[in-house]
Amino acid sequence: MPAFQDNPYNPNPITKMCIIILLGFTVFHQVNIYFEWGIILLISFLFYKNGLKKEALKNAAFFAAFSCIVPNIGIIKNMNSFIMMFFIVFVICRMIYLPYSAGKFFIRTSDVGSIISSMDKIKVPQNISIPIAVMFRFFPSFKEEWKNIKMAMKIRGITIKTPFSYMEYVIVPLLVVSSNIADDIAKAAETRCIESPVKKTRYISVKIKTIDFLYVILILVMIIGGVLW
Amino acid sequence: MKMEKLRIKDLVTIGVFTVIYFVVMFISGVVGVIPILYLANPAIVGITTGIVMMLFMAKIQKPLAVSILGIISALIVLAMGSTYIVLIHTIIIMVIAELLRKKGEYKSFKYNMMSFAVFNTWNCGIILQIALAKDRFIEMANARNMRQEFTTGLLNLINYRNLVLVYIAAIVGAIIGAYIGKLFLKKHFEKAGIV
Repeated sequence: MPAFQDNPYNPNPITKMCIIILLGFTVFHQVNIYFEWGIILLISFLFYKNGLKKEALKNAAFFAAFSCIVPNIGIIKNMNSFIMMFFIVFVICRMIYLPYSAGKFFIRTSDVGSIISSMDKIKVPQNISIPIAVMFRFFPSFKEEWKNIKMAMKIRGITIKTPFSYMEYVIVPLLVVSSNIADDIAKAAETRCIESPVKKTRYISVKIKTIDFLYVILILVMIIGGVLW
Repeated sequence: MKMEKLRIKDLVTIGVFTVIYFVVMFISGVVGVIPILYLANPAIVGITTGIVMMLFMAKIQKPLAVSILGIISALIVLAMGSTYIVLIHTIIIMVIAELLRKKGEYKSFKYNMMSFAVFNTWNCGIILQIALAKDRFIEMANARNMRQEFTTGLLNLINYRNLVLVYIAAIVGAIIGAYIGKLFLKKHFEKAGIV
C-alpha cells in the first residue's frame, strides 16, 4: 500500500467527506459546465499527485464521455423505447458523477488508520466508530469465508439453478460463522482494553495541511461560481 | 423497565452484521441496472436481507442497535458518491424504526417486523434523490430537441406517485423478508444456539 499519509497532496478524510457532501449540491443546482470541468480536473490532479495516474485519466475520460453523450441524446429519439430506457441510465450517471468521483477519491486514497484516527479527532461517539473499525477488520475474513462456502457447495453439487436453496445454503453458514467471528473479535478487543475510558493514542495521527484548505476553498469557489454564472 | 446499554460485544456484532447486510444488499441491487427494476430494488432488498436483519434483531435486544446499522450503511452509500439527502432521510427513518422497536420492548416479533419494514425504506432515499433532482433531469434530457412525449414518459416513471408505490413495495418486501427470517430462525439458528 502506498504511503498516503506522508503525501502533502493528500487531504485528510474529514475534508474528503465534507467535499462529498458539498458536491451533493451540484446534483440539485445547475452548475456551469466549465466549472464542472474545473472540479473534475482538480480531482484528477489530486489523483495524479497521489500516484494513481490511471484513475486520474479514467476520471477525466468518463466525464468527457458522459458530457458528450448526454446533450446529444436526442439522436436516439427514433429508436424504440426500451433502448431509450438504457440511455436514461447515462443521464443519471452524468447527474451524480461529481459526488461519485469525489467518493472514489475518498475510498482510493484513505487508509483505515487515518479514517479511524480522524473519527477520534472530530469526536464521533464510540457507538459508531467501533462498528466502522470492526467492519474494516471483518471484511477480509468475510471474503475468505464466502470463498470457502462456495467451494464446499461446489463439492456437494449445489448450483445457482435452484436459487432458493442456493440462497439458504449460502446465507445460513455465513451467518453462523460470522456470529462466531464476532465473538472472537469482541474477546480480542476486550483483552486489549478497548473499554478503558482513557484517551487513546493512535499510530497514525491526522494533521490539517495546506491542501485541506486549498481543496475546500477551490471546490467552494467553483460551486458558487458555477451556480452564479 | 431499565434498558441496557450497548457493550463492546454488541458493537462488534453491529460491525459484522453491517458488512453482511451491505454485501447482501449490494448483490440484490445488481438487478437495479435495468431502469424499471431500479424502482423495485428496495422491495427485493427487503426480501433478501430479512434473514440477516431478523437474526440481528434477535441477537441484540437493546436500544440504538438498528439505527447504528442503518446510519453506517447510509454513510457508506454517501462515501461511494451520493447526496446528503440519503443521510438525512435515513436518520428520520431510523428514529421511527427505533421507536417502533422500543414499543415492542425489543423482543416481540410483531414490532420487530414493523420496525424492519420501516427500516427497509431507507434505501428509497437513493431513488428519492433522483426524484428531487427532477428539474435538473428534464433540463439535461431536454437540452437538444428531445421528443416531447419521451420526456413526459420519463416523468411518469419518476414521479411522486410512483415513489409512494416504491415505499409501499419496500414495506411489503420487508414483511415477506421478515417472515422468511422468522422461518430460518426457527429452522436453523435456534437449534445451533446462535440466538
